[in-house]
Amino acid sequence: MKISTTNRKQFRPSQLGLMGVGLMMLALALPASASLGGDLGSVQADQAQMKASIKITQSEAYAVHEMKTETGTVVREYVASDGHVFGVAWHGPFMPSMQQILGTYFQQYITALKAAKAGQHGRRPLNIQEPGLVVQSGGHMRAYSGRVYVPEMMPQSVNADLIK
Amino acid sequence: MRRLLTLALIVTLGLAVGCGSGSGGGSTPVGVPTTVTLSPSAGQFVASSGTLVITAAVATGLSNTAVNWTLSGPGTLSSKTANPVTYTAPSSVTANTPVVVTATAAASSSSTAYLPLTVLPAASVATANVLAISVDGGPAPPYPDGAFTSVTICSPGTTTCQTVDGILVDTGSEGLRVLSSEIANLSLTTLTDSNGNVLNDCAQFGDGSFTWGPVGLADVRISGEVAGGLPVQVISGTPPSGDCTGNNENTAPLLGANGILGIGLEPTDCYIPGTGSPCDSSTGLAGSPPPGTYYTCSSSGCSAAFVPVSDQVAVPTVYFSADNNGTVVTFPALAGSAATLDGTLSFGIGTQTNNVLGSAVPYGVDANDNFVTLFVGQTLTSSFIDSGSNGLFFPSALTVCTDNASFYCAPLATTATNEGASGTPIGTVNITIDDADTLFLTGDSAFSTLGGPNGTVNTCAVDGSGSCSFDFGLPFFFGRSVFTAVDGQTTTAGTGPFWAY
Repeated sequence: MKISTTNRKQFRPSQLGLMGVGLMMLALALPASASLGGDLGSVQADQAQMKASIKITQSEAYAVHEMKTETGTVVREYVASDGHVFGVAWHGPFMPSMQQILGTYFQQYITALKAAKAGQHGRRPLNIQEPGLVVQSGGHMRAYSGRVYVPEMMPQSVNADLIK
Repeated sequence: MRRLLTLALIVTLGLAVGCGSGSGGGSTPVGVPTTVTLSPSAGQFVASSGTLVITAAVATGLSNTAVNWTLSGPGTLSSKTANPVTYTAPSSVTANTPVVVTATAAASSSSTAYLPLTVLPAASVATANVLAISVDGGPAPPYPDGAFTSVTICSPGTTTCQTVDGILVDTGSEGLRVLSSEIANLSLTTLTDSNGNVLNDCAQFGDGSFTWGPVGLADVRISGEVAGGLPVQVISGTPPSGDCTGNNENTAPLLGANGILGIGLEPTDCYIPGTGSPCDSSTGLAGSPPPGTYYTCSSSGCSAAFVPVSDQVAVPTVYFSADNNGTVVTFPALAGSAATLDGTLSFGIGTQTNNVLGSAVPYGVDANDNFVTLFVGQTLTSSFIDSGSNGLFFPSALTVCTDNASFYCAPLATTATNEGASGTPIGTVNITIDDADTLFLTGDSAFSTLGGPNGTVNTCAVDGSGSCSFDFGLPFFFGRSVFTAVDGQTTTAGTGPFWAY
């Protein structure tokens, strides 16, 4: 729905806050979809959700499924020969949904993100380096870039530097 | 981009209201809108004892174009009905004082327009465009290398205001965002679609955090500048699952601040450099609303929504009457660290004697508002300057801290060479990093040598993928004046966007 500048009414911010709480409790359910650790079906779900065009590049040990949204964000999903997604990278003007990309790794990511900021507050590039999850994310508004991968899921011959 | 400030409520029905011996009269015919516009139309300051002539234009098919004036706050109006009218500020005020002058159409009492003003003490006029900022840890320390300031937010068209401190000064994002808890006593105007669904904004940051909340119109007074009817994000609540995901920083302990003053290179938080807003359907830049931006929400959930640029959360300077083409952040040099460090944020580039470029050189940016940095054998093509990043962040092989992988725990002394996007200018800056753990042990808040990783070294590819950014965060501002010129605004050094230092 378009916003009309004629539809304005007074609202106390506290009322708006209550509305936010209400929304949390009545959150829309979205189809479950995982990228990292997921299979090709999850890649296709990502493509549909992002309304992206897709280009697939095959290497010996893995395939890169590259998606580009209409607003210019590029997401690359790295799929091993057994069909599972071991890494995702992005760059562009709009962040992809981290919940969509991380799938079952999302909670681990949130926990690590909160821990990284709890000790010293502030905005800075994220660098999570856990044995089970690596997340690097940075940029500024309208120019983001980052990647995630699971070290133990990497195909033997693949260098993590290739995930970008 | 300069928003055309029409501060009127458009109505289709009006009531006849007599005002003293007003001429004409009678009711507005059904279906004929009556609008009131004021000149000047943009909020501004008036020095104590100063005067301002305000003219109202009443557009209607009727003969009665009279207005009634009302004043909120100190000072006087020369008349209740004369048009133009002269506002006279009180002869002395002890602090910046909000004032509102409102015109109501005599033929239609629901047709009004207002002009928000700030009366300044005479001694403050020369620095009306200058705001004190301080690296002091903020309202929820520890917060290293964060510059904080205060802004005054007012219910629009009123003198009911709240001064909020602990606002992070951020040249890397766009838009003013404030925790709902800090302005609970204010009544901001909410924006809804024709179904009554409320406009909400999602602002995502590169580290995976975001702020969420409804957009509210406010009159924002920053130093002597006034942004009337500014769309502000009121940080509160939680978005439904969807594209606005990550770490929801909706409290002071999580955000480390009471709000964010985003004064970046673009006019709003959904504006592609040199192009326009894909969040505004009239630009045709996107077939559907970009993910993780704007939503309309009801009690049953939220939907992604297009929003016209004039309703998007905006850099406050583009709503100022003057000094609106960019900003300058200046800090003294700092050797090592300090408990606190005071600096200034000046509004305007080349508009006052206190914001001229001087020896600063403009660096042009590319379509992503980035320039090129040559650093230790890497060509980092997505580099940028950002007061909201709390350190210098770059890809390197330097050892990261074991207790926090976001910072480097080893020393470095080298240089970086920056190139404007066109290939010139080319300038070299010193880069010095110290062990972050040692720095944090001081208990200080301002660190000139705080740094950390930004992706993985030697991975920047020609197509821009990989780790391609040198993020010149707040330490870069120490000992410099850094100019941020807004996209499309003209300055004495050319049209934005660009950085200059």
